Parts: sequence; structure tokens; C-alpha cells
Amino acid sequence: MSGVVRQMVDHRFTKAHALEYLDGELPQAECERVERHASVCPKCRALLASLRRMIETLPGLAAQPRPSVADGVLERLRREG
Amino acid sequence: MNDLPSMSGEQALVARAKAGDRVAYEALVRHNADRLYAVVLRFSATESDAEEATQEAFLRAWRSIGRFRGDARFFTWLYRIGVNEAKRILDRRASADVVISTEDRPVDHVADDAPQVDVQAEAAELRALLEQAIRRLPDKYRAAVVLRDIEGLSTAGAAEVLGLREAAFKSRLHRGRMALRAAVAHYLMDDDELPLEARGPELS
Repeated sequence: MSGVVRQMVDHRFTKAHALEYLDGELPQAECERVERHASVCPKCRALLASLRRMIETLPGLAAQPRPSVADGVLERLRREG
Repeated sequence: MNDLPSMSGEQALVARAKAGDRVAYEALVRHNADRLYAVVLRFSATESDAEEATQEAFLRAWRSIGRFRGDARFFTWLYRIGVNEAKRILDRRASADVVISTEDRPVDHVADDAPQVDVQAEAAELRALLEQAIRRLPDKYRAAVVLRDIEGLSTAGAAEVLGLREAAFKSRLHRGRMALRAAVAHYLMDDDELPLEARGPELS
């Protein structure tokens, strides 16, 4: 496989498996393939960096529970349950 | 948020609740209410709608707990009832064209009045953009992202909640995440991360 063709194949592979890579679900050899390609491909580096930042931010969106949620449910249960 | 009871502890509470033990059911409410509210909030227009959906879900679950087969976790069953309730309330809003009062805080309102240094302000801005983008996702993708990436369920756990095989769940999660990324891509990429051809001319 020529260098250009290999780069295209690795580019498609990295785009398709970026999330599995970030979730730690890719086998070691495939992780290395992603990392090798990202080291020479700015687009894939950008993709991985942006997905990583997004995924790291999402848990911060968890709703703060209202103290009254369980109390409200229990009150309705006692009234209507 | 309360930790979920162990599977066996939960099964014991469910068995007692099925036999009509209201005290056991109230313990299930306390263990699951915060988590259900957090998920239902993502399918609701306002916080009070989410609270109503949470209450309705627990009421319905109590009335029909005899039909809960117990081959899934209680939360899995509850989640489905809760999301259906949230959608029913949303539909009612849409059909009645109910105006959201200013005192009824819309869910995507991000309160952040404290003085911020730049990094904190950026993080808050990204969270706000993601909140908006999540609310625009189709339900099936939103549910996958909410359960796995926001609520932190495992892939297997989230797939079970949604009644999907893991492969199907992963496909929805993938599509949801990629749609989210597309919605906030302009914000996520700083200049160093942009593809070379998208950068401006380099300064000498």
C-alpha cells in the first residue's frame, strides 16, 4: 500500500473509530494506529481533541437535584397513591 | 444524589413493595427520585414539568408495580414510565400552547451570575451551548447521550434502560455525540486545533 493510500485508509479508520478510541474500547494495536495517524493528520487531531473536550464536559451538565423532588413524590403518594 | 441500593437490596425492596409495603416503596422513591428527575429534566420544557413527570411516574409505578416482572432493574422500568410522562406533558403543553411563566424556569436557562475568570466563563459557555444542542437532538439520540455521558451509566446499563442491544445503543450514542459535536464544533476548536487549511495566514 502506498503512503498516500495508507494515509487515506487510516484517516477513514480514525474518523470511524474516534469515539471508541476515546472510550478506551479499541484494542491496543488499533489505538496505536489512531495515534500514529493523528500525529500526522491535523484534521484527526482536531476531531479527537474536540470530541475529548466535549465528552469531558458532558458530566458537568448533570442536573443539581432539587431537595424537594423525593419529598414531593412522597407527598403525592400519601395523598393519591 | 442517593446511591442506588445494591441489586439484592433493591430486589428485596421491590418484592416488599409488590406485596403492598408502602414503606419499602417509599425507600425506592428516595433512592431513585433524584436520578429520575435528572433524566426526565432532559425531556421537559421546565423544571416544574420535570418534577410533575417524576411524581406521576412514581405514582403510576406504585399503582402498577404488581406488573413489574423484576427481570430488569427497577430504575430501568421507572425510566421508561418517566420519559413517557415527560413527553405526555410536553405534548399537553404543545396542544394547549401553554406559555411558560417567567417564574417557571425554562430548563435551558443557565444561571451563572458570579464573576468569572476567562477559563470558567469559557467552560460555562460550552456547557450552555451543549445544553442547547442536547435539547435539539432527536429523542433517541438525546436519551443515549444523557444516560451514558451525563448521568454516567455504563454502556450495558444505558442499553438496558433503553431496551436496546449494546451494538444498537452504541450506534445511537455515536450519532448523538457526532451531532452534538457538529453543533458546537465552532466553539470546540481553538486555532491550534483547526485544520491547517482553515487557519488564517500565519503571522511572520
